[in-house]
Amino acid sequence: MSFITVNNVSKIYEAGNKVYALENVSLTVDEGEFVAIMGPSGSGKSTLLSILGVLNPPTTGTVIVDDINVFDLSNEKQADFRREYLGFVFQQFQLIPYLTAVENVMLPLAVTPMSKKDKFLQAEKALEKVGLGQKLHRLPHQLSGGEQGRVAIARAIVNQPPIILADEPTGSLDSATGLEIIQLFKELNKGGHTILMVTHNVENRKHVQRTIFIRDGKIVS
Amino acid sequence: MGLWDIAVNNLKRRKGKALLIIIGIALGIATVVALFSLITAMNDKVNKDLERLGTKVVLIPQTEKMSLSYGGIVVAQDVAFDIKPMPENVLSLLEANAQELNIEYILQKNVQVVDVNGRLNLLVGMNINNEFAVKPWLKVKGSFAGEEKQIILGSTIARQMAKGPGDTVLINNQELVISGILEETGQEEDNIILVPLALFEKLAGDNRPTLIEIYLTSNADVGNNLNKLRALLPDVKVITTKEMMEARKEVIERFENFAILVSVIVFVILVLIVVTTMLGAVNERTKEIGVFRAFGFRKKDIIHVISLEAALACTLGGLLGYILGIFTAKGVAPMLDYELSIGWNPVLGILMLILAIMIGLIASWFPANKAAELDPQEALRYL
Repeated sequence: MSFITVNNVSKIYEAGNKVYALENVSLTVDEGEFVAIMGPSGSGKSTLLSILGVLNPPTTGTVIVDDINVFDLSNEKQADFRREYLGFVFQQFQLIPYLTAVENVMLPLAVTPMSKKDKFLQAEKALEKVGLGQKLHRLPHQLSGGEQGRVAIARAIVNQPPIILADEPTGSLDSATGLEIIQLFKELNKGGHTILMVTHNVENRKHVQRTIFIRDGKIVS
Repeated sequence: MGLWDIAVNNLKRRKGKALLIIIGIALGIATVVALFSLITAMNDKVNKDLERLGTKVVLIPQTEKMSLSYGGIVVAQDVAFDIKPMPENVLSLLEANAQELNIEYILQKNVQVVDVNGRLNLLVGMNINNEFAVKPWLKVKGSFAGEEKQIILGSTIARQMAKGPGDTVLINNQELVISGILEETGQEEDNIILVPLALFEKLAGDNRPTLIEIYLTSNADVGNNLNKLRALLPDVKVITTKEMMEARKEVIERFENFAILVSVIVFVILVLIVVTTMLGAVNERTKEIGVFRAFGFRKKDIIHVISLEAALACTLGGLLGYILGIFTAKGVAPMLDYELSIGWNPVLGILMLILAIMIGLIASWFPANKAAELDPQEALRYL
């Protein structure tokens, strides 16, 4: 049994006419895989990632992660699921501007029953892992684009989720910095994280184990 | 790092919005605190005076009054005839029964119309020191040493005659020195000339009391004591006058109702200010709230953060408002005609803090729920 199973998922938006953002998509991802999702703009890759992130329920179909049918869970249980299983790296990283690097990384731990000290130590460890152990107390605007990406990755892994979902993590970076970020993902993947990454950059294909191409809401390869 | 830190850091970062809430709440709470501090001080003052003065009763000689009319036309009203003098033993009877009748003060007043610099005026003989002790609101410009041939003029008479302390006047052809002028009271004292009883006797040739004011102790059973007084003094008319303090108390009660109304209006305005500001803040933070939700914050956690921010800002505003309100009351108090003492009232302070927190929680309820209901996918459209 695969770690992630997407079964006949469709997402239909009804704005006058029915628009299929995804149409009968099925795929499986094994534990520890590093998968890229590629496709042109408007192909449905971001919709697929948001459904995998349990942020956007499909119109039909099921998503099963670690034997859990995630959209059968209540709203609050879905929040718990995200906290336990998923780490997000958003496009442009979406760091909270009024929180320091370490505070941003502590964010997923804010609602977990841990002592403040333990939360700090765990966040510090995550930042050290991405090479930012010396810049714990910098605010996002005091960090370079690459460093912000590293903070975003540290935030995604701080609660040690098995799955990391990344949306264009290199989109806003120059190629050298983008490569650094991809190398970090590879290291995390080696450490056992399952990674699904939406990307436009064909260069990134070299670094992943599998690429899913999507067009007009359907998987083409 | 917990929800508290997120709330505090956000307030620090969005200083403009936080300040708007803090200043709004502070001004509103200051208004309420100032009003209630003044009212409390006024009430305390009146209660103290009432407690000290008790109930005022006036004793006058029995007179027969009637209206003279003919053919339906009233020619004269309240015509007094057969004026009986105050029985001579009244004062001694009152003094002898003072304890039983719960009498605190006995003020003898001798009244006569006299010629002052060629004009008729009312001369009132009294024990001036006792009068001033009972009526602390009476204030004199100049000084009064209680010496013979010294008098005090009511403010209206002084103004009419253009006289001041140190000037002299002729009363029944005797030259007297004005030792003081009463500050305007708006009462009958403005139109009289006050003299000591001994001087009154010399000027008017009579030392019998025209009326006697007595003050019952504050714990006295007024009705019962009045009955006893009437039984004791059958030839004297016993009248309770509406105590000035009671009238003042009524004014304060009206002021209190006004303050409650103002407070309710302030409360509603403050809630609206906080709702608007918080809604604006939530709209600005849509993406941020989406990030929180993506990282596993439950709806109640989002509500918690937003409510905490509002409550924190409002608490700070409430605290500032309390301090500002007390200082405002201290500044305004001397402008009123009362010797008011405005103090730091911890109960009022705690109540205002509770009120401020309530405003924060009530006002953030809608924005917080709106934030919690944000679809994380909508909040993170770029994902």
